[in-house]
Amino acid sequence: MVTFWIAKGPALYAAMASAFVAAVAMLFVVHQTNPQFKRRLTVLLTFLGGLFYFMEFFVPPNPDTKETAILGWSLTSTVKLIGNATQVIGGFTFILGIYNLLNVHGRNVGRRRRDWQYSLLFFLGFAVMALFAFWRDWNVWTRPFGVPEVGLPSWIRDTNAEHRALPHDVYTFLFEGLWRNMEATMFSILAFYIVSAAYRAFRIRSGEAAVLMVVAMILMMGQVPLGMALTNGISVDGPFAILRIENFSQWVLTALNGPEQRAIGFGLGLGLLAMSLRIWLSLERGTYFGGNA
Amino acid sequence: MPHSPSASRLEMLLGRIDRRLVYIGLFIVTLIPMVRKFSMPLYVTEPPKLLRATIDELPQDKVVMISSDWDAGTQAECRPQMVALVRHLIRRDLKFVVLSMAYPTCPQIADQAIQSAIRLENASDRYVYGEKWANLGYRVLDDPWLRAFTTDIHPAIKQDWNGTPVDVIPVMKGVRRFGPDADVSMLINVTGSDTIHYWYQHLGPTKAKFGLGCTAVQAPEQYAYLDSGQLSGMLTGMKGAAEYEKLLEIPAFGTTGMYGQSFAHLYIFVLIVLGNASVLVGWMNRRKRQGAV
Repeated sequence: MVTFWIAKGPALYAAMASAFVAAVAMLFVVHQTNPQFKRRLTVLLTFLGGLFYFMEFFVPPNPDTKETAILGWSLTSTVKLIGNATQVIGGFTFILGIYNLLNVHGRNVGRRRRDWQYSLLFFLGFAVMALFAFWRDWNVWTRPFGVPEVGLPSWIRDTNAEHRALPHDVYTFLFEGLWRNMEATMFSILAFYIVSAAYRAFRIRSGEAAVLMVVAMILMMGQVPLGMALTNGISVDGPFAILRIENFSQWVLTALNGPEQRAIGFGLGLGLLAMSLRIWLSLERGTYFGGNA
Repeated sequence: MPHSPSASRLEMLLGRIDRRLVYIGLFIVTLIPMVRKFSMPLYVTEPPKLLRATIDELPQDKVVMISSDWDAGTQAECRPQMVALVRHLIRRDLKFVVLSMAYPTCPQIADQAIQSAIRLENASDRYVYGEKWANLGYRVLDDPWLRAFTTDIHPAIKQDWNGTPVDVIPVMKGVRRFGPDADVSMLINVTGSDTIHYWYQHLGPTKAKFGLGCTAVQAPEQYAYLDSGQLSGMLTGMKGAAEYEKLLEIPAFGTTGMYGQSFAHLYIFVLIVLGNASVLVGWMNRRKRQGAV
């Protein structure tokens, strides 16, 4: 693994600040260039990025070290480095998401748009959850940065187990008592809609619809004990075992559904390969790829 | 479902049941069997048997990786799967580590499921955190990181969920690669999200065993991979959990939940029949009227 430098404590803050300044400066410079240059830069970086993974995959690794290298440059080590870098970029997408939420709901509240009260509720929920989550785990969050305890308010740095029960209990109530049940409820509501939709829409109006319904019925009943009870009289090991509903539904899934899924997957794979090549070589045109991209 | 003004009362009665009644009916038929348990047959299909056999053959000096990618929305299906699988690993005295990539809330929910499994197996003294298992927390799901992770685990994971450096966690000592002869012998993806295809791509070249626990709607796509041997076994939704509980002789929530699901499926079955009966009645009425004219 390529390790340039491991910063800790104040050096980490300095490194983060320097990286931020360098990134802003680089963006500023790129921003000053003309659209044609920006496009060429994008095309070049896309090509190099794709080429790297292409080579890393196709160049055979050293049988002893299991590492892939070209002219002394270890592709394997670079894969690990880029992998960690993408986690950092992924972290930024969370910041972007939070910024976007705050922006949208802030405007709703500021301009008193319709149902702005819900946006206010969002701010309340966001703030309370964040406060108690950070308060509960402050020592975990701040450990890598070496934040000195001196100077922090006593209610934060207090390590007394009894005193720390408050943030822990409130956080548990918010996560376990509210969020988890609300999320489960949201998903459960789908079941009610699906049942209602099945009742209203699943009407046999053609031969194909009849086949679809019969197969759906077999699969539905083959998945549950009540359905299995229907064919309980057929011996598990006998010659007619395939007629047991659980075996028949399994046969439908493996013998009929399996090949279709393979065919679809194969088609998708070919499409994906073609699409990847087009993106890699910047041949793709459209909303995100044309113009001044 | 549109009905002509001349629709008969029976046609209306069968085909226009108020949706609120449909919802209340679903609630009741799902709840009652779960509260008042019934005795119904449950037959174990081949995919859970394969998964059990694969875990039974795992070497005890290797680590099993669990990719826990479900949250509150899919906990009805995935939690019993996770608990049953972890209980099996505990019974086999295998070490395991958990990683999440789907949602940031996954590690906490996975942690609770594991704690529950440890309690149910009375293994609190044997399964000490850090020595027999660890929770590596959440990582952003992206191809470059996953490529780095499956190439070499250690550089891609610096800390566990609590911020403890991986270097000082005993269960993670020397754990670097996936594969039959490497440190991680098997990966089990318990998921309610689209993480499976990432693992197919990146885990495939390592030849490590791959087990899957997924929601019922995801399962039809996976039979092709089971057939090709890329999957070493699979649990399908709550049924998969119930089947695994039966294999291990540990009836728990998966088994109880199947009773509710049984009657819910029967309820949908009846509603679809009623809806089609209404179409049939309408068709017969129209024929009768045409004959009269």
